[in-house]
Amino acid sequence: MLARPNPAGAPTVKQRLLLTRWDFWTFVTFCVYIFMLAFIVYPLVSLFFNSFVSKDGGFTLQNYLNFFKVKYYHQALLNSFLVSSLATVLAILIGTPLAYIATRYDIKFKGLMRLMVIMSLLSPPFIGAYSWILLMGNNGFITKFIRELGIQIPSIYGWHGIVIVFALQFYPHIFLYVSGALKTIDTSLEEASESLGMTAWRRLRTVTLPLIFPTLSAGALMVFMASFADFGTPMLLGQGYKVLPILAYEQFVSEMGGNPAMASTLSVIMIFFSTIILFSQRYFVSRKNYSMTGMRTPVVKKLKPMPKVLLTVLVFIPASISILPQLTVLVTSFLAKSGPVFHRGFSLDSYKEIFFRVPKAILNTYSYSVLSIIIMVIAGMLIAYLLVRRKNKLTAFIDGIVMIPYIMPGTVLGISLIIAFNKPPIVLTGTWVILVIAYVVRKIPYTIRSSTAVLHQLDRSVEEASVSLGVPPMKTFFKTTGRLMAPGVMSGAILSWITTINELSSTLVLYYGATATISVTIYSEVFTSNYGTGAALASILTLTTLVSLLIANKLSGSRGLSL
Amino acid sequence: MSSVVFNHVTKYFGENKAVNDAHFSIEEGEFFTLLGPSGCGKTTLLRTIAGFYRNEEGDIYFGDRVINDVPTHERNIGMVFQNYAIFPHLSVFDNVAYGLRARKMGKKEIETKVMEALEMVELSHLRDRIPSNMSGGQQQRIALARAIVIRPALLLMDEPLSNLDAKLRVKMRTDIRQLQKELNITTIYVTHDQEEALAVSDRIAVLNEGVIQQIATPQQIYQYPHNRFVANFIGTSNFVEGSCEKDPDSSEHAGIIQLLGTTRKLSLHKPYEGKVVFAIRPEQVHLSGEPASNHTVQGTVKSVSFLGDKVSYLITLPDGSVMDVHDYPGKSQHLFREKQSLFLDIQLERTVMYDSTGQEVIYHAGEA
Ligand SMILES: Nc1ncnc2c1ncn2[C@@H]1O[C@H](COP(=O)(O)OP(=O)(O)OP(=O)(O)O)[C@@H](O)[C@H]1O
Ligand SMILES: [Mg+2]
Repeated sequence: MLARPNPAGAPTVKQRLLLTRWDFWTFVTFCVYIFMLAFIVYPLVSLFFNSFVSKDGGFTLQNYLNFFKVKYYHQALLNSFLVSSLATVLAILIGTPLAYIATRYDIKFKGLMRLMVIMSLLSPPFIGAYSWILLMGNNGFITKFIRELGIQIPSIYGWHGIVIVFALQFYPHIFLYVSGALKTIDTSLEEASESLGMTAWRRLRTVTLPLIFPTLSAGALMVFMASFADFGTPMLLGQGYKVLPILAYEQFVSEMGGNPAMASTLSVIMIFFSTIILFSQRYFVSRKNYSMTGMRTPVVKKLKPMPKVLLTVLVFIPASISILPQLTVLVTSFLAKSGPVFHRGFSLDSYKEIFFRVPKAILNTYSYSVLSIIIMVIAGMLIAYLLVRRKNKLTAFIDGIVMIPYIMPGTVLGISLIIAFNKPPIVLTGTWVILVIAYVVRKIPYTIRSSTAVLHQLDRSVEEASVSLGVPPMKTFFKTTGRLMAPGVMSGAILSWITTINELSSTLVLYYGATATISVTIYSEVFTSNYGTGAALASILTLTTLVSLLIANKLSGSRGLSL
Repeated sequence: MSSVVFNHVTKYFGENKAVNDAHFSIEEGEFFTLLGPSGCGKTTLLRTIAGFYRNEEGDIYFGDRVINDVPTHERNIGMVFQNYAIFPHLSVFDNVAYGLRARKMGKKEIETKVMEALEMVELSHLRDRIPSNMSGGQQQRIALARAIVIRPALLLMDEPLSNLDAKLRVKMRTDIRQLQKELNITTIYVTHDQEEALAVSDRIAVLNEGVIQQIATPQQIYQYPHNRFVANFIGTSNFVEGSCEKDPDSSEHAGIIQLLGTTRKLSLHKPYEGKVVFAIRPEQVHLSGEPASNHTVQGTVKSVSFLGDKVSYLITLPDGSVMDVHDYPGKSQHLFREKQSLFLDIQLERTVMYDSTGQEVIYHAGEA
């Protein structure tokens, strides 16, 4: 045995790297990096460069100058901010009280109410807008009914309509986040405040609300980002009221004089502002984060029969209004019709027509989504494992990058992928592959989030025991950790799945005749006034969403619906 | 092949050496214990042996094979974890069979081996149960069976008993020791419980801040702690300062000791002059009501605790310091009362004497 002199001092980074053992996880890290560089970083960089390209291919700042000079462009930014902010405020006003009542009082049919709220969040794209047109458009059922009563009401078109539809579709974010916070709040703080003689209202204002503020603001951020990125609703209801995603899309696809460089510029500007909003929320919250131990979680107050009925009715009002669009669509899909014109009575005409006319779209949606979700679940679990169990500088980077598509509006993601992959070395435009890539990149964060959450709760020594018993790391993952993670991963995977089958904005940019999905077909049907077929297609998506939620709920106890 | 050799092994966390220049070997079939206070690097050393960490410096040998770069699953070790680490989705039988299946063993053979292992830990009647709501003791026995059934070259255990209650701990440690002897598996056992370590080990390594302080048998560790840290950590020691000078009349190894106002002679291991520290065990002091010899020290009883087989006294000495002394009174003998004045006869030749820093032994009884 040789005694070797001890070199002084800790080993350098290079020495450490040389000592690293290469195993399955090194390989996974490598693959994840390749994937991220190819499908997130490279498109983003291409988009960025493209925004500086002039008509003749040289470098220019003209696009950005135009943005600030031409009112048509920068007005859209202001419009986007206006509708998103107002929608966020409105969503908070609806979602917070609803969450408070639902978590603190024993109202009836809580499960149904939750399901309705979640369903309205996960409704197919712009179904909300489309149904509200059917209900409250210039010739809508409700508009006509009220007119017959002799009252004039403004129609749903215009920016106020967009705000209302956004708020009704996205307030569930607030509801879900705030419910979560209210359930884990430490009640002894509220009791302390009560013992100090605070009235119920002031207690709410001085203790409860400040405590849930961080969570509330996270929910508000979700509402704002969703509204800021939404494409379908303003497209249908705007009638000339332009927001940024629409402008970018129009610049990109417009047959007469489209301008891809300007589309890139608008995209970069959208990403820029989304990022700023995201970080300012983080900044505010980081200064007001109260870590709560949740020593005593709140009890649900028992109510006397009368107040119970009253509160139940009260919470079901917004829940019903927000689910109304999907019911409208469902009813519309069964209306009898000839051509695009509805008759009295019900029939399956619309369904027959879609199965005859657009079976490919239905097939596409499910095959692309199934493929995507398989990739997302496997990759999501592996990435989560890297992030939690192989924490180092390399993997910390992954954490940041995979979350980027989270803040990219779908339109922008689509545009960036086209710009990156419509020319060699890799040409993917027009293929189904690019759609699957877009879905995976855009929806995988949900799966990663839920996977990291379960991994944090799983005991690491279980897999070490397996390795010590002679099972190599990769096999160990699939035999122990992966299997134990599965139920928890599902709550996020279900979100990835549902949002994938419903995905419109990126598909609209990336699809190509033969690769049309249900959501883009709905879009074109509605624009060609084929309301019946559009509704039938939307009902298929709604049904799939509902069934998926119920299955998830069944499989994982109550976790499936807790999102 | 089942011996383990450490050749100047160092493991860093950032700039910190969690294991600092470990240089020793473990014999085949030995029950070897790593003992030390929390955060001293026991787990780190064990996990480096298991291959979960890579040592930045030095080499680890299994037999004569360097295993620095052999991945864990190829090291043929069995490991028992503090929190059991049972596979919650597998039955008791499948938990134990897990390692055998990884070794591609036949069905029949697995069946016999697993049942044999389950019988050793007295769990064969629970073979088809799902372990998740079994008791801690049962789960730990499953973990033990799972680790030994593969007949590992090396069995590693990281505080396997610390989540069990005191009674069960004593029974389990005896069982583990028994099994280990029966199967003759080289075992490395981590604990911070010195009683446990003393009870089961062939040899103990005492660690502090990543550095191995002493490696010896339980008896040697207790009787001849190599430095003040070990003396303090293992058992109870009263540290009393004194001084030592050369005896001009006698050979160069004799010293004249000044301690608590008494003067005595000791034959030192090496010449030394200056301040010294004595580590005096509570049982190395005799108490009596009268001065028994000319080097007794007077003290006052501060407190008395009756512990059944012995009595523990805290005694205030003239210089104000307090000494812990154990007395084993006979049936008729009265206990000393609080505030009573008495005489201590310190049996200096049985104690250990260190230099002023407490790092080096100047004197202890018996051979060096
Ligand atoms: N993964 C790690 N990264 C950085 N430092 C670590 C890591 N694991 C342990 N350490 C540090 O190394 C030192 C030794 O830790 P170790 O877990 O080996 O102690 P231990 O002797 O097992 O303690 P305990 O009795 O509490 O289990 C401690 O200072 C600890 O903070
Ligand atoms: Mg430890």
